[in-house]
Amino acid sequence: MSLFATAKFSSPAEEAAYNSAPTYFQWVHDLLPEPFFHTQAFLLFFLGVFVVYWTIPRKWQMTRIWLLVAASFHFYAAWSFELAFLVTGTTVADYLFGRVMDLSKRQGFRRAVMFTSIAMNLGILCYFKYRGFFLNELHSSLTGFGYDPSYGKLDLASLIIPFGISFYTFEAISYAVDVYRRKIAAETSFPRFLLFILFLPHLVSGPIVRAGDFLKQTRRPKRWNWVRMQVGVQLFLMGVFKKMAIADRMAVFCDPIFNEPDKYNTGAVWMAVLAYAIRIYCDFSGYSDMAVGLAHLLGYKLTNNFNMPYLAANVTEFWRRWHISLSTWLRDYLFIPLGGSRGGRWATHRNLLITMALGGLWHGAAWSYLLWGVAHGLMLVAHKQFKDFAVARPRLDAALQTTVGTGLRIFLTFFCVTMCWVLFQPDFGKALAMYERLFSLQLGQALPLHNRSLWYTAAFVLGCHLFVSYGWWQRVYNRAPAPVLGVGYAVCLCVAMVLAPDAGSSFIYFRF
Amino acid sequence: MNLATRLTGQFRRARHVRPGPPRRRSARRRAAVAVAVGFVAYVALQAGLGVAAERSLYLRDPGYADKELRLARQEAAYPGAPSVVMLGTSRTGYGFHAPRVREQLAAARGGPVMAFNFGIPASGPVTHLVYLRRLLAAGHRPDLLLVEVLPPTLADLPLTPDPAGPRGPLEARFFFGDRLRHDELDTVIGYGFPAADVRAKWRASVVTPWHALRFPLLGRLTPSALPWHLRYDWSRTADPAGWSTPIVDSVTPELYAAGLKRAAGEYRDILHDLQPTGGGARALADLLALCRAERLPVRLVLMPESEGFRAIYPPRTTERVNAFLAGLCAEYGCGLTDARAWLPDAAFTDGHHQLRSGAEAFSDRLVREVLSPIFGPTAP
Repeated sequence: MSLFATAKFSSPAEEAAYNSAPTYFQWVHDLLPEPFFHTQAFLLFFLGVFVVYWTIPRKWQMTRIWLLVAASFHFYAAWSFELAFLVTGTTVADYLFGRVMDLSKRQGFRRAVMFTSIAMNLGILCYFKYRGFFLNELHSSLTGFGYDPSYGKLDLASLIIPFGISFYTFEAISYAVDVYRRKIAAETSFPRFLLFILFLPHLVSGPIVRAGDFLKQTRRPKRWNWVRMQVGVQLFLMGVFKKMAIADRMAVFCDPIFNEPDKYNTGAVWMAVLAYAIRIYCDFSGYSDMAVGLAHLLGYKLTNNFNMPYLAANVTEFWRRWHISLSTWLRDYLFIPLGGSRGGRWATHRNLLITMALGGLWHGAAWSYLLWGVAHGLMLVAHKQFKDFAVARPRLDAALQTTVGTGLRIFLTFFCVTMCWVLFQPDFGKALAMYERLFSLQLGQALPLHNRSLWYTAAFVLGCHLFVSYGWWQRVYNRAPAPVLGVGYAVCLCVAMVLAPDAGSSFIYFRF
Repeated sequence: MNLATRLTGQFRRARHVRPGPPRRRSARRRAAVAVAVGFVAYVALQAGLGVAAERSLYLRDPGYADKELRLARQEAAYPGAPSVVMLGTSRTGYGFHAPRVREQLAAARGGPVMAFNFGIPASGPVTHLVYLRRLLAAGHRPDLLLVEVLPPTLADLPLTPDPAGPRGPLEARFFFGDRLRHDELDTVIGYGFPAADVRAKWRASVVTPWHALRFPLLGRLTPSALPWHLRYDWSRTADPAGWSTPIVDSVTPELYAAGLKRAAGEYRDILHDLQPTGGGARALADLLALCRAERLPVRLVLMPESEGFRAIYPPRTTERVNAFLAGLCAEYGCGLTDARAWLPDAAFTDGHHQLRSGAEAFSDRLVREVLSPIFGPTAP
């Protein structure tokens, strides 16, 4: 019994992989048909792991770590046992690269090992995620010039991309770079390193953890802590509510329009874009909340990935609040090595554009994702320029800092970010069709549902943001009696269940 | 110091003091209570709604419950008057103009009459049997029960896209275990409904009813938040006699042709080589047997279909259906009204669902040819 109805396999390739898997892994797949945290199958699986984990005595720390490694491996193998072995194999290789780097004092050798590790990880990422895109573009270019490419176009939908490959690849790269820079020592304990990459809460969609933060925690024996359990449960429930009650409901509004924009009128397209902005935020932050919550339940703390990004007053602040683990990774391992802000204005702008373009491409193998990244890069550049302009004019700067000025800036930032979300899809043609319908009056079908629930949801999300940002939530939370909090958790979960739509959708960031 | 004080002093000294400053202990205790109460409250909420749904069809099967409520109100509004109730599908829902039947029959009879439309979309003989048992158990006994027969519901069909997969009545694709009480599960399974699916849906509706019954719940609280096919508010008609007033009064020839094409697409394969020997056929026979056992006068009705829709039936299918129904009527001593050719094509939206004009014409003729002879001054 799943909490939402989905097909057993999302593609013929997955079904074929299941049929060819050994019986044991078919059984594992039947136990865990989908790698989604908010399904009954996963909750039962996690409950089993949780009970065994905390039953193991605290002094048997390595046993606990091995248990989590085994659970994480099976969680991944339930989807694809071959790719689970691939992830484990690359993790073993990264562990060995780190040990080799630490054993040598020769900088040139260490640099070569680091680049080998990066090349291996990026090579696997590019093979699985980008080969279809590049081969198809090459095919189109060759045929456009009248050459015979001697191969057919690949069906991108049939290619299996390992879940979470973009996330754990970045974690592995950050580890190699940090060991090379001697920011951290190479991990000597193999199971600890395995857990760093495979840890199931963050394995498939982040947050992207840093080795220094996580490996430290593996050395501290975990003690049962009710406060931590409460935080974990609370975060998990918040994530479930965001995913089921908000993100999946918004998908009912935006998916039909994003799939066939030409059929719908201008008003419907505007509503769909708003719905998508709410959806992608609640979908991804909901997943992150669930991941962080599950980690807390196991005694680990993962980095917070979102900080109410739609309350950002400018795009720079937006990227400090949205997908924080990715933006800090891009800053530390791409932007700063490119030169950061050190080389003057034009160099800074160039570095920003390169970083954001590659960040866009990280999300998906399509020109539209690249353009999305470039658009954000341009907005960051524009903000930097405008900020310098405003700072040089104190009256303008003061006006922008007033309540009205801040409100306008928040609205403008939200509007620009939302307009960019139209590009956040693999089909650039559909994005163009949507822009045409947004900015010219077009007739067509109305929204598939009455827009009343969309406005209520938007108002609710905005209300929650304000409730938290003004500190009211903290006051209520501190003063509410424990039983009231408990009943609140139960009501929150039941309301999430009631509001879940007919068929749940997979997490958007699972595609990356 | 006496013995009692010394002893109690020992116990007081022996009491375990947990480590940590008082504030941290208080925070831990608060967290433990919050989590524990949350778990208990969640279980209580689920159990509470599960029990309520098992006892009240108002939550579990709103399509049925809303009609039954209206039926009870109609019976109260016409106490002691002879009554006719029609059980059927959406064809009945749109076609049996209950207020018109009531008025005309009352005029013909010279006294009050109650007529009620119990048409439920996507239903069939198994659904009708379950509903009849519920109605009888609730004390509803019409003087005449009309039962629509939809020929495609008499055969067993593949229930999944896999042709080699399980087979069962057509209505098994729509009438799920979450609309049934526990004591009704075996009934539907006996007629070919997939046992595992039926029981799983029922279990989900009892164990996690806030999720399994979310559409009936939302359909009551805020129907506009749901797509039309999930609203479960079809029975909350404006008409107190249960008739679903057609939304439009007429359709253009293009819309009619599109509707007929859609209907033909739904039914052509089913009717191609239909054998009326499936679970639906057995359920219809058992429904007639129940009526005989309860001494409830019953009549079968084949609802009107347009000429274009009738053309979908291969001749052998029509012969088989006619022979089957004739055999049933002979065995159970009930009448059959074959109204398939009663209405012109212009009376339909899609060849088998009637417009208002069609409902009026069908109901008028039903009163004239069928009901008046039964309910006239010489009524039983």
